[in-house]
Amino acid sequence: MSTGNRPLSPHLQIYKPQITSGVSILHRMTGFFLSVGTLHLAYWLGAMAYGPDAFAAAQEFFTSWLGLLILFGWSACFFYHLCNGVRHLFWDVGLGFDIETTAKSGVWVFVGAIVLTVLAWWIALS
Amino acid sequence: MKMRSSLGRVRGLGSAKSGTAVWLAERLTGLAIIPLGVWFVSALIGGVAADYEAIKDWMSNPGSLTMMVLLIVAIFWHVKLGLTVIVEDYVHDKTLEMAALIAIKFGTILLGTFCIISALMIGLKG
Repeated sequence: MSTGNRPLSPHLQIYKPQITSGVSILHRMTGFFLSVGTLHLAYWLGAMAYGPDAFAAAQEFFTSWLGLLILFGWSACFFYHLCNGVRHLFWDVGLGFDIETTAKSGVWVFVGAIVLTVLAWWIALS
Repeated sequence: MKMRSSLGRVRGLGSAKSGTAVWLAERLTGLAIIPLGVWFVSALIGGVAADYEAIKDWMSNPGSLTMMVLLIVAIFWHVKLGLTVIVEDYVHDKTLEMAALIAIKFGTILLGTFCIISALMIGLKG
């Protein structure tokens, strides 16, 4: 595509950062991270299929501090992407699409993601 | 004199009534991942993967194995659609974009198939 000397629409740096844009960008970033995370899902399932020894090695990795840190990161990404995904589905059926509600639901996405992540790890580690 | 058929003239000019297919697939795979993903994460939190025998038992259950295979399909389909949008938005070099899109397609199919095969192997092992 040749853009030449055509006028450009205002780009990111023009706009004031807002909760709605922040939530949107994070949705994309967490989606990307979760995509990378499928590599570890494949590693985990593969280790299972290769047998007890391979699975034990995978377990050792996932229960190491680095493994747990990575798992924690993915759980946070998962719950965030889940909460905002539900928000998107509401929009797709035409609900909550006015400015005031999108700003409010954006805050709730953060609250929901944090609560679910903490709850999950609290149950898992107790 | 008109040298082209009517079909040839309109091809590529407008909607063929299939433009929403990709959009819809992204929503539906996301919708499917809500129950499937929450089920999977809950099981992990519950300690289903604590050791090899435990995970083997769990995956040998026809219900679990069905959910697992469906989750894998939904995840990799959703990942393929999501990564495609990211590449289309940010990769402006045509050759690089094409290469990335092909890599995403092959990569998700490869990893997804590997995950399904692995899940079936552990689940169907007596």
